[in-house]
Formats: sequence, structure tokens, C-alpha cells
Amino acid sequence: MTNGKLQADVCIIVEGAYPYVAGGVSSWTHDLVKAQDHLTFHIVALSADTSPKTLRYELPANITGVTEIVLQQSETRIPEGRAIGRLIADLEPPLARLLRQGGFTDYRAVLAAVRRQPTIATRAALMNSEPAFEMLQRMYEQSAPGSSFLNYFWSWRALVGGLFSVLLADLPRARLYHAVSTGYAGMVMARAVVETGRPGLLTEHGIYTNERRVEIAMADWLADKLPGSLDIEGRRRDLRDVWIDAFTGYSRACYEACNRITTLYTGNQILQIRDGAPEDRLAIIPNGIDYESLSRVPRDTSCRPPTVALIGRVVPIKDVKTYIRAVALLRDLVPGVRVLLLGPTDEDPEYFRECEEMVSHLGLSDTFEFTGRVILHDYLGRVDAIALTSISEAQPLVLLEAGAASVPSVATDVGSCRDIILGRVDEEPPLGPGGFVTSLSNPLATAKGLADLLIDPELRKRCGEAIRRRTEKYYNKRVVDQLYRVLYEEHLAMPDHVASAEAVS
Amino acid sequence: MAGIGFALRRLSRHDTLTAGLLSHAHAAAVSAGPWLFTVVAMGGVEMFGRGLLPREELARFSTVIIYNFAFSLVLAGPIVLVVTRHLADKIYAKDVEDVAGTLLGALALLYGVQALIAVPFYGFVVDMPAADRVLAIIGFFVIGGIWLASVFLSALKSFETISAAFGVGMAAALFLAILLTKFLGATGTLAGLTAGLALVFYMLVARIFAEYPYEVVRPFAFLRAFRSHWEFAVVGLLYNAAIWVDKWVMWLSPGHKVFAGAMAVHPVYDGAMFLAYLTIIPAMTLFLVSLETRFFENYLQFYRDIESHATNAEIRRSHGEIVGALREGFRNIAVLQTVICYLAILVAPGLIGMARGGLELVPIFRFGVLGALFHALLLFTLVIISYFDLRRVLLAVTAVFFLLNATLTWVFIPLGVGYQGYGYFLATLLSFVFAYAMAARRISRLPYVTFIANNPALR
Repeated sequence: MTNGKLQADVCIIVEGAYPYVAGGVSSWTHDLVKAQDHLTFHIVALSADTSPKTLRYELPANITGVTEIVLQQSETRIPEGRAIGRLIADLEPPLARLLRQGGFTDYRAVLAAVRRQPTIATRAALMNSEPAFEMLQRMYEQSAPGSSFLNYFWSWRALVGGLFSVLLADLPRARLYHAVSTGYAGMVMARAVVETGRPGLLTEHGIYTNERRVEIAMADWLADKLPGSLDIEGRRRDLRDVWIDAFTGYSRACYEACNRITTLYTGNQILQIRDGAPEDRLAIIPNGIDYESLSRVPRDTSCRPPTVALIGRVVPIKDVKTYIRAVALLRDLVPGVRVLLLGPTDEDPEYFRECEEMVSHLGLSDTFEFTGRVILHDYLGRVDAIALTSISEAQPLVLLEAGAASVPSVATDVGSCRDIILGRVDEEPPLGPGGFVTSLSNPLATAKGLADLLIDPELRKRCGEAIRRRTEKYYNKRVVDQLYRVLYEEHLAMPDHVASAEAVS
Repeated sequence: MAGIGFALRRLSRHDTLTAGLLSHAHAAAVSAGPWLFTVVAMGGVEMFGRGLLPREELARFSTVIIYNFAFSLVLAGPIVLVVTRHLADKIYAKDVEDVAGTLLGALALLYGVQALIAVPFYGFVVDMPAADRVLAIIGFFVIGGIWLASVFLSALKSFETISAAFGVGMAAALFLAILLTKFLGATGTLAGLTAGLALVFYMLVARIFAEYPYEVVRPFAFLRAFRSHWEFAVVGLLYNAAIWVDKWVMWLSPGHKVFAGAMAVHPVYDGAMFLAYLTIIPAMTLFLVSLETRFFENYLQFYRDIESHATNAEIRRSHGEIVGALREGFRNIAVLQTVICYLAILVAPGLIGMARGGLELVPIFRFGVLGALFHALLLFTLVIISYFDLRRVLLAVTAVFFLLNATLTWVFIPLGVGYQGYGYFLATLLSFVFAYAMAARRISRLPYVTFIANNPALR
């Protein structure tokens, strides 16, 4: 870990990602920093525990420092003293509100309570003192009195312990704080906004509260095993609600603290508004692709069978089985059609085997081909339409990569597919449809859309051109980089806002 | 998926709250048992000895017995408590194949330490017949072995075997002692008693090997437990030394006598004290019974409630029940022991006379009885403290008891014969008050102590 002594232009705050974990958000962060090479960056990396970590990326030269904040730290000291009681009394009301879907006001009050007694408010005092344990018990009685106290205890220590780590960590100086998710990263950003008077930005790829909802729903141990008959008043609050409420409170505080909230596509904004994001701060900045190189892929105009492809891994979330069913219908509509699945097949062997069986069972062996992992450039010129049957996506780059090569798509209505194929509501001038959007698990609609595109060359050309122009205009990496450049410039130039009275003390 | 799944993952790890419960329970039997046996043995010698042997012969015999009990207990103390923990951990983990090996390893360690002291002392320092020297050394080893072997059987909860072994062995000891005394005098008494104790030791060890018919493996694996449980080693040493330290101070004070050239004792003080100790036998028995029954159930219930995901209200209720059980058990013992104590003080001259002791024993005996009252209450509190695994508290209390018993006994020596025993009484009273305050402070906040202050999972 290195700490930049100089004030960086932008402090990017990421949770469980860059530079120690590889993945979509990490690559995005890496590309963003490289693209904005006229600015200096400081990375705050939030990590789960104190285990040693290795860099997964070669840090660009304009990263001046990396600060790691460990959320779950062990703390064994048992502090005592009357002052801790006063600290906790001060802290408890806003903290309780924050954890129950509170917001920025509550977070500021929490921050102020901790800052008022800087020498007393140690991690040990906040986590291990007797007043803190009494506070925990009161919060339990208020929020989930019928659930397992043992689970609540560990839940509280994880949820609030992470928050205290954020409150007590050293904050690097920067002129702009950019969080790449809400949650604890958002809390760091919100704290920086309060304490430095500098502006804050938020970019959400996936919606944090939603991702946590999925995890929490899958955490069986959080479920209270209560006999159904006791559950007279419908669903009672249990530990899952405690977790979700806390994350909702953290998200709301983050939304209210920052100056601009960007996400990849329109659908996410609905969820952000639901979690309390002020509408006037919302903006969409999609991820960009390398338009120039893909748009130069030549079309194979030789005499060949009409060809469709699904580009993606053979895994259940891509719903390859719906694609195969659609192909069975498509073969009757477009005789002689050639169907590809471009993507690795080794990730879920069991699912792949089922798909292969389905292909032979439906008699598609001559039509359907699993190519395995390929270089997209080699195939795009020979593909006439793209299918996407996923049950969940964020911003599927394959539609854009195909779109850059003027290949239209038929995609399910997930993530930003609607934005990409039909254009955003605010598109000006409207560029027209770049294919078709279907409902989920609807092989007939997928087959029909693909057939229309294959049979009608005029339609195919119109759609291909529309999606190419849309990609060029909105999803070109150069355009997107420029959007961030402007966003950063605008916020870096802002004057310090007057830090609140509590924060000054 | 970016972001974190870690906060949730960390939580699914298991808690270890109940892992140590049984081992704490064993500590109770281990700390109370040897003292009870010492009390009975010393009191027995004091009660019956005078009928068996002339005064000078009796002193020669009982001095050896006193020395053997006192110093074997102190030397075995650290090993006994550490091995208790080690065994409890092993039994909890259902990994018992090195139990037989541990017994042999621990015996080897104990005997090594004992031999370093006993062989030069009985062999060269003291002046006694050769047969007595050999018997004294054997007796020293046998008693030390008994302290250690009892641990294994308490860990097994084979209290019947322990009781039977002691009953049969001590009956044999009495019979053989009477028989052999006729022919050999004090040497015969010593031989009889040693044979009886050896029988006890043999029965205990036989039972252990019957229970664990494994090959002897890793005999010294338990030594690692000294590192993780070092507090118990110190507690074992301090507590047993604290029980004896007032006697040691008196052995060096006016009124002491030296037997066999080098063995100092204080026959008046020792005799009065050993008789006084007999008064706590009923309370100790009641205490062990009440621990085993109501308290232990409530105690397990509390931790099981937590682990089986009880609500906070349920946890508080079972906490209340623990406190209630402790209060009631404590009150019963205090009442019983106070009544016994009062009666003993009232009829002290008669009791002393029955034991054929001199009237000079009476004032010491009265202080001894009062001291024994608080000593019993102190032991009760210590055992409760060890149930809740409050190691540092245990350490502090035993250290305080040791220091107070040594200094207060010493401080009152210049005040004359009338104050003999007063130091012991004050030491037990103050130590008890201290221990009670420390324990009450923690047990009244047991949920906090369990979840945070004493939670090994936070470390």
C-alpha cells in the first residue's frame, strides 16, 4: 500500500475490486484512469479483511497512490470509561436511523458524533464497549426482536463494523471523490464530501442494493426458522430486512451526498430512484467499445447461408436453451439457416451437455454449431443477425460490438438492451430500431425477430445502419471518454462548498 | 459481480461458544476434590493418630504425611490443571487415542519434578531410618500420582470409580496401618497408609487404562497445552500453595518443632487447622451436588440457547436463571456452613478433647473454623469463575489469596498465641470478598462477557 503525499485530482473509491481483484468493474476503472491521463488519481480500495493482496493490474503512471481500507478488522481491546457511554448516547439515534433506511442527514450526524470525541471514538470503544453492546441490544429489540440474537450480533458487527472502518480510516486528499458503487465505497465518498467540502460523483454499474438483495436472499443462515403458524401478521421483519435496510440507508446517504449519479442504462435509474436517488442528479454514461476497429470489419457478401449467432458463454444466465428452441422454429421459417454459438463452453459442463443433447434431440445437429472461444473479428463479417436470450445483463457489449460492424440484434428486454436496440428516450434525432426487443424466455419472438431480419434484406440493412450509428454516437469509447473528461472537468472546477459545522469541529 | 460478498461470508463461520463448557466443568471437580481428600486425610490422621501411636512416634509419622500431601499437591497443581484442559479439549474433539500416553507423559513429568526434590530431601537432608526414607519417597510419588490420575477420571465423569477407589483404598490403609503399627511402630503406620494410597492409585490407573485401551502415543503432546493454558499452570501452583502457605509461615515461627532433623512443623497450629477443615466437608458436598444439578443445567442452557439462535429475551431469561441458581446455591451453602461453623465454635473444647488435642488448640481451631467457612465460599466462587472461563480473574484471585494468606499469617505472629489462625481467617475473608466482587461484576453482565469481553471468536 502506498499513500500519495500529494493531493490527487480524483480519488476513486472501489469496493472489493481494483486493483486487487480482476473483473468487469476493475477493468472499467483501469481503462478510465488510463483514458484520463491528464489527471492524477488516488485509489481507495475497500477490502474485506486484512489478508495480504497482490496487484492484479499494472498501475498506470497517473495513479499517485493506493489506500486500502479493511472493512472487517479484528478488535480485541475491551475499553471502559464513562466517556464511551456519552459517545454512544450521542451516536445511537442517528446510527439507528441510518441502519433503518436512513439517509445523508443521519450519516452526517453519525459522523459528527464520532468526530466530536476523536480520542474516545476508537474502533474498540465503538465495537467492544459495554455501552456499544447495550446499543446493539436496543437496536435488535427495535428492528428484529424475534430473530436469532447470535446472527443479529454477527450481522451488526459486520454491517456497523464496516461503517466504523470507513469512518475511522485515513482519507486521502483529492479535489474530487468518485465512488464506483454505493455501499461502503459510497460511505467513503459521502464522508469526503462532508469533511473536505469537495464534490462527489457516483458511478453504479450494477445496483448495489439489488446485488446485496440477491446475496442476502441466498444466505440461508439468515432465515429465521419459524413455524408458519406463528407468522400471523404476514411477513415479519427478520434479519434479511435488517441487512437490506442498512444497505438501503447506506445507498440513500450516498445518493444524497453526491453531485452526480451515473449509471449504464435507463433501467438502473428506476432502481436508483426507488432507493432515494434525487432524479435531477441522474445521468447515463454507458460503457464504450472500440468502435473504429470494429466498424472496419468487412462484410462477407459472397454466396453463403443466412447466419445468426449468439455471442456468450454457455451458462444458464444466458438462457442458451431458449436460443436453441428459437433456432428450431427459425429453421422452419428460414430453411438453410446457419446458427452459431460463439463463446466458451467449459464453464458449466453440465449445462453444456444438456444444451448439446437438446440440439441433437431437436434434430439441429446440421444447423447448430458450438464454436467455442473465438476471435470476434473473424466471424462478425459473416454473421447477419445477433441473438441474445439472457435472463440478466447489465450492458451487453456484444450487441455494441456487432452493432459497430452493422449487425442488427434480437435481444431480451434486460439491462440496457432496450437502450441499445431502440435508443434512449432522449435520443435526438431518433435513429430508429436496430433490431427487436423480446420478452424473456420467448423462443417464438426470438425466432420471429431473427427470421424477419434474415428474410428482409432492406430491414436488415436499415437496422444494421441504425445500430451502427447509435453505437458510433453513444457507445464509442472515445465519446464515452469525452463524457467522463467533461464530467471531471466540471466537478474539479467547482469551488469548495462550505463544510458543515459538525465537520469542521 | 462487483462489490462485496465478504461481509456475509465472514458470518457463516461457526461460533465456538460451547466448545469449552465441559472443560470448565471438569475444573470444578479437579479443584475441589484434592482439597477434600487432603482435609479428610489430615483430619483423619489428627483424629485417629493419637489412639494409635505415642506422641513422639505420631509426630514422626504425621510430619511425613503432611509434607507429602502439601508438597505433592503444590508440585502437581500446575500439571493437573493444564492436563485437565488438555484432556477436556481432546474429549470434546473426540480424539482420545493419546489419553493413555498423556497419563504416562504427565506422570513422567510430575515424577521427574518430584524426584528432584524428594530424593535429596528424604535421602540426605532429613535424619530418619532407611525404611522410613524409602516409604516417604514412595508415598510422595503415590500421592502425586493420585492427584494426576483423578484428573483423568473426573474428565471421564467417573466419580463412582473415584469414590470407590478412595473408599476401598482408605479402608485398606486404616486396616493395614493398625495392623502394621503393632509390629513396626510409626514405620508400620507409614507403610500401611502408603500401601492403602498405592491401592487407590492402582485402581485409578487401572480404570483409566481399561477406559482407554490404546497404545501409548504422543506421551508429551500435552506439553503444548502449557503454552495455550499457561494461566492454569500458574493458578494450579498459586492456589495449592495458598492453601498451605499459612502453615509454612507457622512452621518457621515460634512454637514450631523440627522432626527428623529438618522437617519443621507446628503441631498445635497444624492440628487445630486440620480439625477445623473437617467442618467444611458437608458444605463441600452440598456444593458439588448443587453444581452438578441445577446450576450446571442452567449454565448449559444459557450457552445452548445462544447457539440455537434464541432471541435476546430468551437469552436474558436464561441468564436470570443462572444468577438465580447461583444465588440460591450460595445462600444454602452459606446458611449450612454458618450453622456448622457456629456450632463448631460453640463446642470447640469438646471437639478438641474428643480428638485428644490440647486446650491450646481451641482458639486456633475457632479461627480455623471461621476461616474454613470463607475458604469454602472462596472455593465456591473460584469454581464458578472457572466455569465462565474468566482466566485472568482466576489468576488475580488466587494470587491475592496466596499473598494475603502468607502476609497476614506472618503479620499476626508477633501478637502472640491468641492471634494464631487470625491471619488465615482474614485472608480467606478478604480473598472471598474480592473474588465475589470480581465474579459478581462479570456474571451479572454475562451476555456482554460472553459475546464480547470473553469471546474467543473476536480474537
